[in-house]
Amino acid sequence: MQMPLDSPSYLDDQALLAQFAKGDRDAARNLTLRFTPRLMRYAIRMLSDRLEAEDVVQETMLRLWHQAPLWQAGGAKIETWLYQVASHLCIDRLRKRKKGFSVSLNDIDEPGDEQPTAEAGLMEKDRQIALYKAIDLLPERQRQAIVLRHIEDLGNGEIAVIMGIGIEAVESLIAWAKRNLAAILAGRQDELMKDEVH
Amino acid sequence: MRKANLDDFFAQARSQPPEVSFDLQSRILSDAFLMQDQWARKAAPINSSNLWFDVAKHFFAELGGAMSISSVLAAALSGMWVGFAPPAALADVFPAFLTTQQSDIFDLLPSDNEFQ
Repeated sequence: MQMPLDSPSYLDDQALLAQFAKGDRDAARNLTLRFTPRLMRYAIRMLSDRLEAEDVVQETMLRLWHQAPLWQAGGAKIETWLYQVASHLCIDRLRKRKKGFSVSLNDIDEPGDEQPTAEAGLMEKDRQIALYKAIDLLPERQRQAIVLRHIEDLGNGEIAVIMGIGIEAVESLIAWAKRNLAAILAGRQDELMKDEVH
Repeated sequence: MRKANLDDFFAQARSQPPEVSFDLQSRILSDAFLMQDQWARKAAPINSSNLWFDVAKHFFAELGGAMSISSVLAAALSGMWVGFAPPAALADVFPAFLTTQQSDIFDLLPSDNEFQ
């Protein structure tokens, strides 16, 4: 049965991957829909460059396709494995890169319709840019930990597996990252919180 | 900056994930379908009722299909034609390869017996 690209599948990740390995085209579509938004969000937060983030996401999914026939059911979570691969690819690119922050306004989606005024929408975009710039200034490992914890909303245990470190090390990285972010953003606090002053 | 403010920043970032372009999704799906097609080709069963035909079909598919086979055949036939009926321009060149000529033989490793 042909399914439209945006139809959800109710199979779990491993069952979908097993179906993909048997040649099921719909399983390929569902896996793509399920994982690419999360990977794209993670890669763009790490790299601050949409084109590079797209390359990382495509390469990560390609490795999943290669791995599908060899995947052992009941083993590691597919999501965790994907974040591990994407992390390695992002860190490789960060180390090769010499340029700095490159997020532009165009990389940030427009605020939703619930924004009451155009000015409020601009403030929100401004806050996001400020956060991305601050994250971009963090050391790689702190950036990775803070993005996985507070933007991807993963648990410390899962982050420890992705980063290949202990849970205490993850907690320490996150604490340092938050301290550094607060310090960076503190200089602009009044400007960014202007609309909350009544 | 207070912790609550930093959490607001994160909550906003989580609420507006970047869009995945249709172009990226298409590229990812193309990779997936290509992989599945490769697996299907390798796993295609051999029909035992026509074994030689199926073996030949798989062999030619691995070589690159009809285009590659036709190129190889054309090269082979050209070579045979040149061998049996060489063009006039090659008439002087071929005898040197086709006829046997006496050669001088030099013993580069003379026997040790000469020194005994």
